[in-house]
Amino acid sequence: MDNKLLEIENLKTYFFTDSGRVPAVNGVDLFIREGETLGIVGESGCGKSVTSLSVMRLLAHTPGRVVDGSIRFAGMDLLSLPESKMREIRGNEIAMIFQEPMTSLNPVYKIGDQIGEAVRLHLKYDKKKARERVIQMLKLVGIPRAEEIVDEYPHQLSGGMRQRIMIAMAMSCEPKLLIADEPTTALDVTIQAQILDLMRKLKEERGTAIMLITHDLGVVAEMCDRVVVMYAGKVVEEADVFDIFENPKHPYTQGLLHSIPKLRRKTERLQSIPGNVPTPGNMPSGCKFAPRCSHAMDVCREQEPDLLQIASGHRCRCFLYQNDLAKEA
Amino acid sequence: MANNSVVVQPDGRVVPQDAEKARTPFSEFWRKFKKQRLAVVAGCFIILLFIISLIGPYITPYSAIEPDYDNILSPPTLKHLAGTDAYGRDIFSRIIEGTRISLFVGLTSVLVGAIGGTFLGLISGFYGKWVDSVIMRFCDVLFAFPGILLAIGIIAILGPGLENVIIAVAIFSIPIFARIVRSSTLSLKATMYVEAARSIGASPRRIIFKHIFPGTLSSIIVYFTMRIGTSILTAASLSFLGLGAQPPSPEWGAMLSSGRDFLNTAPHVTFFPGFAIFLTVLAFNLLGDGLRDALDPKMKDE
Amino acid sequence: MFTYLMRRLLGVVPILLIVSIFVFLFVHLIPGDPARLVAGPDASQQDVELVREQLGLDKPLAVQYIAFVGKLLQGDLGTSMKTNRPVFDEIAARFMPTFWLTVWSMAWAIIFGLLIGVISATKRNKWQDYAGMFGAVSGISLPSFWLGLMLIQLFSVKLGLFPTGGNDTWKGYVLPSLTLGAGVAAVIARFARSSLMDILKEDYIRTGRAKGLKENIVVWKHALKNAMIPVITMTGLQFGFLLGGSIVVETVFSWPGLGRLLIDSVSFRDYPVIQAELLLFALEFILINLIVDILYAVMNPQIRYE
Repeated sequence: MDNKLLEIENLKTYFFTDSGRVPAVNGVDLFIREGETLGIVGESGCGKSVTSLSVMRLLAHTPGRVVDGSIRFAGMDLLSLPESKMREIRGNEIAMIFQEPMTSLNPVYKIGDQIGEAVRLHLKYDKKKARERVIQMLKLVGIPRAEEIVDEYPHQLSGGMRQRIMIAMAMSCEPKLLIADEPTTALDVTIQAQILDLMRKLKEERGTAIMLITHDLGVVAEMCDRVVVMYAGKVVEEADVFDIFENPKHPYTQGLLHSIPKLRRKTERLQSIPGNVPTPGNMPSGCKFAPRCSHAMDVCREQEPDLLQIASGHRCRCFLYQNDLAKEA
Repeated sequence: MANNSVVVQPDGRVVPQDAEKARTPFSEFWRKFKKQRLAVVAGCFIILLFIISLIGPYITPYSAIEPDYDNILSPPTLKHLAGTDAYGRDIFSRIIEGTRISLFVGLTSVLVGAIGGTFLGLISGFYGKWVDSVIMRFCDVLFAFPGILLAIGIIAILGPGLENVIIAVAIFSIPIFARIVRSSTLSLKATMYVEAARSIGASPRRIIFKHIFPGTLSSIIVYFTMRIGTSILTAASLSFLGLGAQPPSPEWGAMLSSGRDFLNTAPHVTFFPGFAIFLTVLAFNLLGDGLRDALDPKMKDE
Repeated sequence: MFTYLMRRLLGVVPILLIVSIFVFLFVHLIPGDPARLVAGPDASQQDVELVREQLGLDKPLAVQYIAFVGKLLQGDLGTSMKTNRPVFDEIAARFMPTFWLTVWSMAWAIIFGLLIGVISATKRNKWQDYAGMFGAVSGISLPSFWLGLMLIQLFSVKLGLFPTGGNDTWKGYVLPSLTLGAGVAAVIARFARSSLMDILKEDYIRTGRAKGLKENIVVWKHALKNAMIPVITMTGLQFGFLLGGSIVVETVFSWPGLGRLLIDSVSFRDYPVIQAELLLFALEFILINLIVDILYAVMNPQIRYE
């Protein structure tokens, strides 16, 4: 079953600031199949969030602009859709939840009004029917006292509850794709687990595809079918979740995996990747990871490797493997 | 961006100059301020006004006070650029003379208000407790008399006249500065370096003037500039109401007031002094806006 | 909500108290003998003493103050020295014209101020923004007496559309309220722009857009209601500016209101009237601020439910 719901090709999103043009996303290729959960992993600043905002076309009010590439969703070219058509997709076919549940809800409107707004807009429900739908959604995401909460204001709820509200809002119009941008980062660990459970349950029940953006590999292991690892605005590795954990190829992915604390090996020191993600103004030539890479070769500093298939469903942007391929050929 | 590789600091040190780093606060300010073309134009205009107010009497084509009964209420001509008033005096010359009055009134009243308000604000914010309560209650009461009303009340006590206008405008600037300075004092008091200074045993006076006052300076400068505009406007209003400068003084508000009776036949007598007030106040407000954006973008409109 | 209201109401009491002391002391701050001031410069020494006794000016200040407040609570504000009528009647006759003038000025100032502010914020750094903000900074720089006279010159003298003064018909309200509201509209526009721009950066605005809402709904429904909270507070403060400004504008337009009465009284040294006016203006201002605080609480659920 190779039914691609979302397909991003060569996406380039630049930010235009006083100090010049900043390539936040610089040639991203990825796809999501129907009903699949794709994890997008990387350190902060690698372009994960900008990729998701590009898909939603929510960059209009930022200095960012998509300068190249294509985004296809369910047979439509999202980048060439008129804004009115795009509005019909947002919140309806593609919904999004954000990192900050505390600030993502409008403080001056009731919970019910905020969720109901999407329902009335996209499903054309009347006020009464929308309210029923909202209560039904609140129950679905495990909110107690749903009939009362509809008439409450966000500030009366905890962070975990607000994230459930955000999920209820996102799921209320039965989207085909849910983009979750670090949905659990701001929450307590126990709440994190509950929210992830909820998302998994909804996905299984409704067959929603999820684009899960995170820097937490534990979340990836628990939730995802496939993983895309991003570094400095590019995809550096892509594989299914087992391959990523069992057989990581890119030195950056290996570094990320090594930096997860492991319970069984208590004595070992935590490893970290030396150095930082290069700032967009100071991109190294050649492979963007080369300055931090323990395997870096001369060629890495001169040329940038391509993202090439190294096994079925496993792609990697690294010269270490391209030489292998070259030898085989 | 083509910079020399070294720069000599005012204190004589030679430091390598990186285009991105090693900016002094002033050059950083200047870089941001320069971008605001309107504010720069306004600043130049204000400098011009100051020059005019200094050399005014030497460049006026006609006397600002002497009547000329042959030339009453003449509309603007090449001879009299802004026309003449009911006594035949050249309005253009009178406006030039009046520049000095307006700038003097605006500057001195705000200066007095700023000094008083800053002092109160520093003390209030630094010592807190009952000192703070007393000063802030005092400000609340002054604020309870809206705008120009307080000035009118003060003039009702002191009597009309330009000196009393200055006093009145100064007093009603005090609570504004006190509040702003107090709030930045409060946030500065909480910052680390004041804590550090206190822990090495610096005296309160030293902490206030060495550590807190410089931090409040940028907001003081911004409000100072903006208040000058407001003060010139208030002073002109009071003169217009007959409570400030009295004729035949070429104060702009008073000139305008005397032109009212000829609005039908000679509107230029009211137009030009009012336009001078408008331009001057506009320049100070634009400069204030520019300074605010360059010094402290977080600061809000009042 | 109730506790919040009570707290605000109680907070007004000390200010009222101090304001009343200030206003009471006002007559005593004027250089010279208050009894002589009230009796007038031509009165004989005997009359002065009589006035002193009548007004209780020979008693200690504290006793005088209590008597002053007592009379105040009964609506006795003294007698005008100019007309010899009770100050209360003088002021009552002048109250409504000023009230309506400020209301109309405020109404159009809010409408235009908000409109310009919202347009400038949504068209940030485009020509609409520059035009709106230059208009606004000009608005706060305009001397209202000059603007008023120029409007008279254009619309009354040249075009004959509106009267030059007076409040006999609705037409009389147009030019004065335009003049008085211009500065306030400018301040509201600037403030609305900056607070709306802050709000538009909030996460929940992005949520609204991600929901598929039209940009107009995001701005006018989601952003504006939040932006209105600080704007209302600020607008309340501008009422003070209006009250003050009305003094000048009433003089320009020969408006039979409180402002012109105050100026007449200052030139006539009619101290009881000045005193009463100061008190009334301060009272109004305090009252408006109280209303603003209540509105603020109504708009902001976080306070309403405390």
